[in-house]
Amino acid sequence: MNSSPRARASILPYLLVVPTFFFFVIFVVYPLGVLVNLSFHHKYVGAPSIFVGFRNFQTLLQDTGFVQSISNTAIYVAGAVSIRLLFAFGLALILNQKIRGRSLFRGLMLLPWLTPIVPAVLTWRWILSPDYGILNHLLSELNLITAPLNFLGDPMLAKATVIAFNVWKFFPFYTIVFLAGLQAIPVDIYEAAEIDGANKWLKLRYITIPHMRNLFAILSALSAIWTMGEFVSVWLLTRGGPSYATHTFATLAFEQAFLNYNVGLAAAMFVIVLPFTAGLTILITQYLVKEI
Amino acid sequence: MATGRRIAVLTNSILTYGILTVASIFAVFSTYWMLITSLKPDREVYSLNPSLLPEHITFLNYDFALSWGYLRQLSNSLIISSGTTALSLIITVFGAYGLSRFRFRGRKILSRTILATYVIPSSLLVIPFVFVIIGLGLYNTFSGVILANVTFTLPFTVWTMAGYLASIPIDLEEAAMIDGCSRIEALFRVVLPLSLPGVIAIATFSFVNAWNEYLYVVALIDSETKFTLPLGLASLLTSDIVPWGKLMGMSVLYSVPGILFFLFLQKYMVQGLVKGAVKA
Repeated sequence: MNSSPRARASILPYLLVVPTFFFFVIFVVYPLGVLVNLSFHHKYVGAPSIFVGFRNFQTLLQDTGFVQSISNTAIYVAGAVSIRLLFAFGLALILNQKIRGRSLFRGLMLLPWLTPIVPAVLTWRWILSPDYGILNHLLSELNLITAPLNFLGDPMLAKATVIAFNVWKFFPFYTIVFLAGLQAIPVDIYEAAEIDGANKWLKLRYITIPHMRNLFAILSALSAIWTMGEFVSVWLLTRGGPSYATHTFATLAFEQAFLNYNVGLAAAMFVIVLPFTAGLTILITQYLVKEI
Repeated sequence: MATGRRIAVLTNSILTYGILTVASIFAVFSTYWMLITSLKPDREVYSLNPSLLPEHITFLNYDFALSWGYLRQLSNSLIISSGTTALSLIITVFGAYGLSRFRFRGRKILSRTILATYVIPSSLLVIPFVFVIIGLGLYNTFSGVILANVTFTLPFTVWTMAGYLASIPIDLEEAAMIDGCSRIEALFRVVLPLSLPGVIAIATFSFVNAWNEYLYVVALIDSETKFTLPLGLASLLTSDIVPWGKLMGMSVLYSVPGILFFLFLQKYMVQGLVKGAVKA
């Protein structure tokens, strides 16, 4: 009547992981299938869906708005990833020194990451406001500008602002990870180099950077894929505007699906980006996967 | 020679603290300005000559937030965040234990899927997710949002927890099992108490993630009575004239509990994150 201990032992691991497994099947794998399927249909919310083959993709590739959103996404990713990683790495180098007040500074640096994203975006909008915003006030007090800058209304400035927000909001995570990486470098390597007369710059160039190369690669890829899919900050800062200046594929797809109810076309936007996401994901999982 | 070196050291520390000060202002200013604005009367908020400190402190903006629906949104946020934390903890503990202690067929595929889901941006799945939730009859319910939150926290929590469990020697469970415990009893009586820091880290992560979530709540919640704090806050933006003082009051009341909660548990949280991120 009782199953043998051995049989139970072989069932137990499956029982343990079944809830996790079902979560991924129902809420990740299956939706991914639904997404791809939707992209081949003409489908509005509340209306029946009609199979149209590749027509959504043809429509998108001829649509200047969509093409612009893809190039915006590329600019957004390139700008935010490079600036953030350099900033976070530089900061980690400084915070890795034995300096007074280190834990205070480290704590302060966490603040952007701890502030929930919606109030953080709203506060930025308030600071950048052309009417009563403090930044315009300070810039004109310093005689750097004569007329208030419309940070979110000018196409170039809006792009820069969206990138700056993204750098600001997420750099603490990268600083923490870089710091952990720096602290994992064995101290005796530096000591040996000092005995051989290496200066600060040589130690950075020949010890620190080679040791951090792998972490740099992982964080660049992670940062790229997360920035690519970032929605909330762009949407709440600019709604993709002015005109299409800051629309990424994520905000454009959201607009199509949730404001225009054109779900088929929106799904196709995500599907076009899917190869990039999948490529980065495979790259990262190859780098990252260590047996648990 | 000695003075030369002293000058070099001095320049170095001036440079270091200079950079740190600028970076700190960059990091802290917006939260500072949120707090300061929330304490100013409208007359000072809409001043052409704004001051860095309020001249007259007022709590009117908080009064507004409280009368405007803050408490209901707070309770909605708390329900969703607690629900997410509880569900993700239960699933994570069993799943991570299974992954870290057993070799079974399909293990590798499962662990790769988990990692891939950690990596892909959640916004990618928002459209089909709504269809799935509608199909389950859970549209415009807290349960639907909780399921979404758990889906996107589970990869991180399972991965981190499995890492913690792997660092706990298996001998302890075996000893407990020789003493007559079943495997599951050994998990609850021996393994979990030892991995408490890991459990706290993943609980904090789940809670904070759910507390901050915006996209999936917008997508899955329809009625205003079910709005969470970030939704309530964003809905104030729709009018042409933005009531900045009131908005900053709401923002403070929403951000501060989350920040305090995090700071309270940050030792575990940062440990867990670093472990997860560097290892993972």
